[in-house]
Amino acid sequence: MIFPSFFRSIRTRFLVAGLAAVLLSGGLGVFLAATAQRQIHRQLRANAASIAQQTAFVMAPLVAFDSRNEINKALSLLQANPDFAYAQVSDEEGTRLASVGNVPSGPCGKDGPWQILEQGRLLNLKTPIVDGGKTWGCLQLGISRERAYHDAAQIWMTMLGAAALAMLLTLVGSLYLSRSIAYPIARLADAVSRARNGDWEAPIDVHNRDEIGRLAENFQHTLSELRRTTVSKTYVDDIIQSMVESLIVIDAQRTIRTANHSTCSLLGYQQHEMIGLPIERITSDLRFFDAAGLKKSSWNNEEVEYITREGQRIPVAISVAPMRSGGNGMICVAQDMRERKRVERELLHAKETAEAANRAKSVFLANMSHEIRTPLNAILGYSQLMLRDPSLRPETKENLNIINRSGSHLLTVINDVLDMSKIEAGRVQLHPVAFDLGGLLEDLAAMFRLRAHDKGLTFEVLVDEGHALSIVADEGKIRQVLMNLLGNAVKFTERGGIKLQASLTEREGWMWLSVAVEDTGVGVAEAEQSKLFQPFAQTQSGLDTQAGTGLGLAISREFSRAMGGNVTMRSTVGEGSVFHFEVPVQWSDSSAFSRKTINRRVTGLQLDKPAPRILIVDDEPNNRGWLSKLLVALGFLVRNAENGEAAVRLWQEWKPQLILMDVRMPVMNGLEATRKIRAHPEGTKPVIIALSASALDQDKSSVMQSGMDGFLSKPCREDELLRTLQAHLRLDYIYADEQPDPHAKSVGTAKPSHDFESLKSLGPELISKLQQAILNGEKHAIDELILRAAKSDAQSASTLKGLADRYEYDALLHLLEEVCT
Amino acid sequence: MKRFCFTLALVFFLALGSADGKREEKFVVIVNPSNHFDALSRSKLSYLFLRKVSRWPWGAEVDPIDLKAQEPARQQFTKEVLGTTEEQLAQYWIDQRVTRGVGPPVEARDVATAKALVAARPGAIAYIPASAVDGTVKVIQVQP
Repeated sequence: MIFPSFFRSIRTRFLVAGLAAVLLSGGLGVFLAATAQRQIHRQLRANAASIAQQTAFVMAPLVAFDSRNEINKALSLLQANPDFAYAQVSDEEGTRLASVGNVPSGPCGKDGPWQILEQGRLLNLKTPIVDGGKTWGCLQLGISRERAYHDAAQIWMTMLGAAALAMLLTLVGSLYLSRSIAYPIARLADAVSRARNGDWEAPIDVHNRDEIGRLAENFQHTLSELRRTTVSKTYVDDIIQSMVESLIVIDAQRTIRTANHSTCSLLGYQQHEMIGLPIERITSDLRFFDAAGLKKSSWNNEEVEYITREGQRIPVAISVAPMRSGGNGMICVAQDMRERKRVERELLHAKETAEAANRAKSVFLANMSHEIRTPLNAILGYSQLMLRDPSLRPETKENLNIINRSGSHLLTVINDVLDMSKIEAGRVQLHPVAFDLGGLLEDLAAMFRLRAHDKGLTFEVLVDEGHALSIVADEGKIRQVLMNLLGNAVKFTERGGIKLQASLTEREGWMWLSVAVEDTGVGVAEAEQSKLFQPFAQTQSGLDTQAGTGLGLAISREFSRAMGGNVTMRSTVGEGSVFHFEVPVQWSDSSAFSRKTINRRVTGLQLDKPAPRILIVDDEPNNRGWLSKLLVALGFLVRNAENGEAAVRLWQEWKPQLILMDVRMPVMNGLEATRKIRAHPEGTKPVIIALSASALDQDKSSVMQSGMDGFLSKPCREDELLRTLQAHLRLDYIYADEQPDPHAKSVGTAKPSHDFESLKSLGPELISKLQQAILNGEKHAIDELILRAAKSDAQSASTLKGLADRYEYDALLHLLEEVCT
Repeated sequence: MKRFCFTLALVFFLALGSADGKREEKFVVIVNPSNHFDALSRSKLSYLFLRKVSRWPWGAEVDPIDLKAQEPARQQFTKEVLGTTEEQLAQYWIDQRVTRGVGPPVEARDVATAKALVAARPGAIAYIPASAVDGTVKVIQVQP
């Protein structure tokens, strides 16, 4: 039903309906009133006619008998009628016989027609009086219409009054209805539309007690219930718009339906521009917006690029989830990743810089060690070589020994620093090999027994039987650890002795080698014990001795830990310390070890087969020099090459059995030369041993990959070199019949075989001179005095010499004082 | 009609002259004792017997009664009161019967019957010889 717009209000409709009812009833009233009026007048006329005819009928004999009295009486009876106005009776001649009231003039003869005339407020009737076929006269009768008019007017008045009243009532009624129905409904409608627009707080101003009131009350209840149980749209909007993260909602067609303020500012759009944009406009990576895929799982913190209005790409982390209400909608929260990306780049850059710096440090260390080792190689090599000269004066020989020992010490320091840097770089690599544990222990015992005795200390070795067995472990590191522990024990002990205990036990499925080094030295204060194993942190006693790098124990512990073991210590100040070293090892089935070789001096080759050809390749003439001198002296055939290219050429024409190959060389380095030789059909024959000053294990592995058979680090020790040659060429050496170490074979419970009583024989003069020289720090004088002492007591002198060589002047003085007393 | 009235008046005057001359065996007009009139003019009587007036002023039906034509009272009444002859009268009633459907008055068998009818009927009017009058009827004067 279509209404004109003004009909859309219920109030207007009430008014219009009321008005229509009023008009209808008014019209009906007018119609009824008019009908009634007509009826009244018709009735009046009918009555008047009837009265006139009755009167005429009665009048006929009266006129005929000419009885005037009767006529007058009859006329006066008519006056009883309230509408009566006048009456007159005339005879047939027109003569007036009788009359009542005010008769208008006019003829009324016997020929006068019957007539009824309405004249103003009167109804005039003229009736002939007839009887017996004869017209006796004429009756004129006047009937007043006053009452009829009055009645009609009254009807009209009543009607109009009723219509007015009805109109009034209708108006009042529709006003009342509109007030009591339309007005509250309108207010309720206002409240509903306010609530729809989010204004839930406004009260509903409807206080009816009828159905509308109940409706309003229920609506109010529902509203407050909703307000309590749900958050308003504006509240949710506020949350969405206040979010720091970008939030968009897309529908099944992947069109943006909602985008919050953060999204707009991130992408440079206005909010209204974003609504309806396809998702393709803001990102090209659509795999996260697959509604079907989302059913299975939602995406969390995926990296995507958003495209701004200007086309700039912004990295964001998005999380996409399907809308719970279904309908394939998706909600997508994104976080600006630019800052995080920048930090990541910076971190990466910092990490790369740090790594580069660390690499540079390692390379620097390697280079430095190379640079230091190369000249050391010459120093040690030549000093060792010179010592072989039997024509040397003892003095010169001793000087050479000092050079040699100092060089060795320097080498140890460099090795320590390098080891420590490897440990710090986490580059400790294990090289387990099968080796003879008994041999190792014997070597160490022999080495340190001498030094202990030199210092006037007892040296006791307690080793379980059956340790002349081979085990698999990193021999080099075990040796280094034990040398360090023993070295420390000797260094920090002035009185008493040192005890070395070793045992192999099986535990936790492993064979454990445990070695205890016990001394009666100064001991370590409890407060210092924790610092003991820290690199570069020397204890007070360590600082007092002014020797060492302070790295020894740190390296020992790190090495043993790298091998799966540990170094621990127990100490009491003034009583001594016990260092306990424990490491897991494996049995080895190999037993091909030549023992008891270390202390024997090689003087030449067994000449039962042709002398092996050895090619020495080194760019440094000094290194080539001492190596070739050493080997030639022993009976090897030696030739030299100054770089890899020359080496390959020389190999082809000379075919040496073994090549000592320096790794770093100009023109062609050792690795490349090795590869060239190995590529040759006969290239597999020669044994190639690398000589490298590089201490880095990675260099070692690249050396092995290139096809070399062994590795000797420069500067190489003579015995090491000779042992390597022996192993690879299956050689037999001739050993010098040197003075055997009196304790070398007495592995077991050895007692100090030497007391310092003999020193007394030196004489008080020499001793006091020596003391003086020591106190003055005159090395030459000390050495000279010890040499003089050696003439009377060689053994005591060698003890003194050992101490002096190691600058252990304290021990020296202590010893001398003891002798004097 | 004017001509008829003129003739009637002439007859009436002639009859008066002759009656004055004889004065014997006069008829009288009688009515029921309830009748209001005491005297009636000859014209009024003729209206009644010629049925020109059908009701008495008080409403009673006018009921004229004639005697037989051979009765001298009738002849006398026709001549003196109605002022006409029997032939004219017969002609009048034929006209009346045709035009109005009204016939002549009832004819009594004899004088006694006429008198009894008048006594019985309130609107009745008759004429009888004066000798036959008794207390059952009322005599009204015939005025000229």
